[in-house]
Amino acid sequence: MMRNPSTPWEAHVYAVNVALLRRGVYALDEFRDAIERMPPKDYLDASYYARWWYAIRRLLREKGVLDDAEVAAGG
Amino acid sequence: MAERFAPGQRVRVRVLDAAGHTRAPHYVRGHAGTVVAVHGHHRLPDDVVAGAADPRVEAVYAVRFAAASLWGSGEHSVTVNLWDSYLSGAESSHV
Amino acid sequence: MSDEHHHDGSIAQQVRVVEALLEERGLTDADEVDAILDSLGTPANGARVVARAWVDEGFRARLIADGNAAVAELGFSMARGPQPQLLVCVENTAEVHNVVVCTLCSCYPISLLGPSPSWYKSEAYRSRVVRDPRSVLLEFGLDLPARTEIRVWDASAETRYLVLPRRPLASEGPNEAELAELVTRNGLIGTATV
Repeated sequence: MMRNPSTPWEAHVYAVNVALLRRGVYALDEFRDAIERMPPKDYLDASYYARWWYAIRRLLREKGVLDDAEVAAGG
Repeated sequence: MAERFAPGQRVRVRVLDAAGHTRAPHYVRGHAGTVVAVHGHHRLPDDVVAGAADPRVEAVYAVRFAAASLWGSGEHSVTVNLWDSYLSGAESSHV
Repeated sequence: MSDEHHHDGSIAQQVRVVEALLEERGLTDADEVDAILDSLGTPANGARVVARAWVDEGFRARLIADGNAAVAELGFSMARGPQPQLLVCVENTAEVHNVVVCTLCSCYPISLLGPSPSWYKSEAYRSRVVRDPRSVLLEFGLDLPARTEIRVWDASAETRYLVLPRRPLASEGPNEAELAELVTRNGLIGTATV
């Protein structure tokens, strides 16, 4: 749970990324590659941390950790 | 983990067939620069993303390029960090 | 994923959901998230490093020779982020001015300086500062003499660069803490002098 609701979501994106990298769920190089694989229009429309979030979601899906249905159900 | 290049040496960035992930910026590909330092040894990102079982660990060099050689103008230099695989030796003659 | 998933409003909600799911799976926990958030640096950290280098010649030499070891003397680490980074401190002089960028993706010494400013991440900065740094610096209000050599550093690998600004000439007298207050974030990136 996000203990301090006033912390920006961007900071939580950063923290989730560090946690997943530390556990070896994916490598930093894979994370950068996932951003590079973003469809150009989506890349240009997305803010900086939105791009990070896209990469994290994509890698969690590709690594079989979390799929879109689970995330949609958890909301 | 031998280092092919030493500070002061001229190197050229390979024109890479980078279908996958790579960390050689486009603007230095094909260009020659001078090694200014070795910045440690790291896994080659290209190998990591390609899913190599044993990614190559290589020297990463800080390579300095004259702006005029990159873009035809400018008095400044740009120093880029480049993995060993991205580089080949370059003749030290003037270009 | 549909388009709406890239808009910030819906992302905040997704982050909450994903964080909770990851905690359920044991892939993170609230304490770890808090610890990571607490470990984010601020520009005040870089300012302390610079002020120490200004008053202590031995520290300055150690900072240039081995940035990681030197900042550790002050309690700072470059290993609290995604992976350990090599810290290289580049020193401004009367002849040389340094400026830092990451053209590929906006890499930045976040654990030492905190999150990067928005302009640092912009496509405009990343593409222009390598090509025409003098114009970019002018837009930041920095007009360097024509004879000053400008060195642009592109952090394209795991090296993170910290600019050591020149000590302001009028700064004899202030103590180290007062000197640190003179050091701005832009000075540490190279888009300003201090």
